[in-house]
Amino acid sequence: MANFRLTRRQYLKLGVTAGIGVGLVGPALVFSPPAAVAQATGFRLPFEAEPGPATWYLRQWYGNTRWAYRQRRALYSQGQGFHFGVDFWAPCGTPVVAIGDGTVAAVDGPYGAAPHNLVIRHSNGWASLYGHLLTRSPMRVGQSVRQGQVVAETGAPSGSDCNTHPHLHLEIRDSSLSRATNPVNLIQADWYNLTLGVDSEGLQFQLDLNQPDRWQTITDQPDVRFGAALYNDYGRTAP
Amino acid sequence: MNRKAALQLLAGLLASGGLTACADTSTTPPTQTAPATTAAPTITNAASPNSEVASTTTTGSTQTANLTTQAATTAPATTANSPTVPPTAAPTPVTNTPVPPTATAPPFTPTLKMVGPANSGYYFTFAADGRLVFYARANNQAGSWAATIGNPDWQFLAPGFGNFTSDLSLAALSDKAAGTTLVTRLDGNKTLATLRNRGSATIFSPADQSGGQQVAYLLRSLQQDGPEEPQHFELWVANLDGSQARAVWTGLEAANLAWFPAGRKLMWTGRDSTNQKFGLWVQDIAKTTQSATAPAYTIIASKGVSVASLSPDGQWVAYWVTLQGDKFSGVWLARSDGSQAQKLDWLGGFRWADTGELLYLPVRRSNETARALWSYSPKSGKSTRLTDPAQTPLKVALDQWQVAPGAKSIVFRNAADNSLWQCVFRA
Repeated sequence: MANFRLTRRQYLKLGVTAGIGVGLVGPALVFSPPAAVAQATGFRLPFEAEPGPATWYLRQWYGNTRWAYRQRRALYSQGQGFHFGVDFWAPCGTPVVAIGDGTVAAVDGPYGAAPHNLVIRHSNGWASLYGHLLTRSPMRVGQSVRQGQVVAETGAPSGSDCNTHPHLHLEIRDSSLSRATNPVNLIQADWYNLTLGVDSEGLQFQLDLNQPDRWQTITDQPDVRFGAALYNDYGRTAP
Repeated sequence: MNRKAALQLLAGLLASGGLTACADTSTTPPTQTAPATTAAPTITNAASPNSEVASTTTTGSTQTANLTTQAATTAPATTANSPTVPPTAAPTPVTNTPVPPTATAPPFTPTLKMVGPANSGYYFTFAADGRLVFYARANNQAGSWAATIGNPDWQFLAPGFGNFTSDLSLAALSDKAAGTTLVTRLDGNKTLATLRNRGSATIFSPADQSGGQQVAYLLRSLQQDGPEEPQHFELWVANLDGSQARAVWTGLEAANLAWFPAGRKLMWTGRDSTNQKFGLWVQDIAKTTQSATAPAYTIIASKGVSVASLSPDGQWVAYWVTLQGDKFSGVWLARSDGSQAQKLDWLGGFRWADTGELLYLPVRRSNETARALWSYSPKSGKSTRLTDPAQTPLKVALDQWQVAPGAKSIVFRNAADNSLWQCVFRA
């Protein structure tokens, strides 16, 4: 076994890298940067009810999740191997509301998230996609919607697994619909609180053992370009 | 604070050996004290790990009394739709009568301090001796390290990622690319077995009565790149040298694998292969051989069971039930034989402490900016608040927190700066 002692220079380097004063190991007075703040999109969460174990809660982050890594060559192969939305666990039939004002762009369009999906374009250039819906949304293409308006009901991926995987898959894409971005950075919410403390593989990030500090937070996940190369075909990885 | 000032401060800290993040109340004893059974944090000039919370510089008995009163009225958050009742903080009633200083030690003041840099030290845990074990890249070497909090010397354990025995004598290092897990004796770096288990997370049993140990892992089926669900698993056990390897159970959605402390039985969550039984499973591994398997059985049969955790003495199991209606959804506690199952009156992430307490970080209310740490006693059924979120704000990222041996502190990943922090809540 080898031992390693951090030098003063290394301490400083780490501190500078982090942009803060850091005592790597040992007591230290530090300055903490503010947590990442969502862009001022005005977007809201897609449910009217409060989160809770019987209502809905966050089950999978956007990005480099453990779950996505396992599915990188299957479910998420077209999304660079990443989970390109956030998953909210909710009983099938839970009302889904629009995250912002907009216009319906697609109902059951070619955007995945079977069995039913809905796309709403917003005036700020973003589009929201609501997936794994229980039934076809009653909305019509071109119809205007208001933020908070009920537009669909939650379902499950295969349509028959409401007992085991009932959830809403929420994506935010750019105007071309060919790029997905992290909803955590666009929707103002108390994101960590939404997990309720219920752990899951979707709430943990896969480690690239050669770059263990990359893509390990809920805000530093890169945009996904559909059809581009995998981000996460790691040579050495865990868990 | 600008960058230059931060660096000057850091340099000063390094030269002086660092500063405590919270005021040392032993040097400024209050002139009055308010009795309290719960730790009543005083307000300090701590650097807040939660930038949303402003810190103040007040100490003293009045503040302590106020905070203790607050403890009596502040319960951990529950979600609005939950039918649960907030737990009772149960502090000793506060008197406004001045109390002269006595030889009695004042209530302990929880403290916070950073113990690791941002973006490092993922998947950390504690060794039995209190060292923190984590994966990180340092000095151009990526691997598993052990470090004593407060000591800048890190000990390199292994160049891989995996699970370790609590005494750090054995490692099960996963290699996904090779499809193996190496069972290694760290002292002497001797490989005991190469398990061809696709690099599945492998856990060590405690030593049984004869001193023997085994390993166990959940082997995901070859459908891992196939449909989203269901995920098929086989539960395997083997001796440390890889001998007597056998599958003892097959099923779906298996997780939360844990050994009972005697090293005979395993517990996990999942459903059996017929897709009929959901819940918490137990199997007596001591009664299984390569030719005969004792059947696994459910101790809790329920849909929506997840995040099960066995107490260190093997007597209790805490677990989540979700999306099963208001009556059943929430955090539950049961005897490890499935008896005395009861829904608890709080929601949040939980960890067992070696003291037998179930520590938890409740879901916040909308008017709270950070979490408090609470302790639940399975024996008394009572909750006690250990920290005040206004004074020692715990904003934990990704539910990454662990309880140190002895249950006097936790280490957590701070959502505000993505660094590892320690919260000491007992003397």
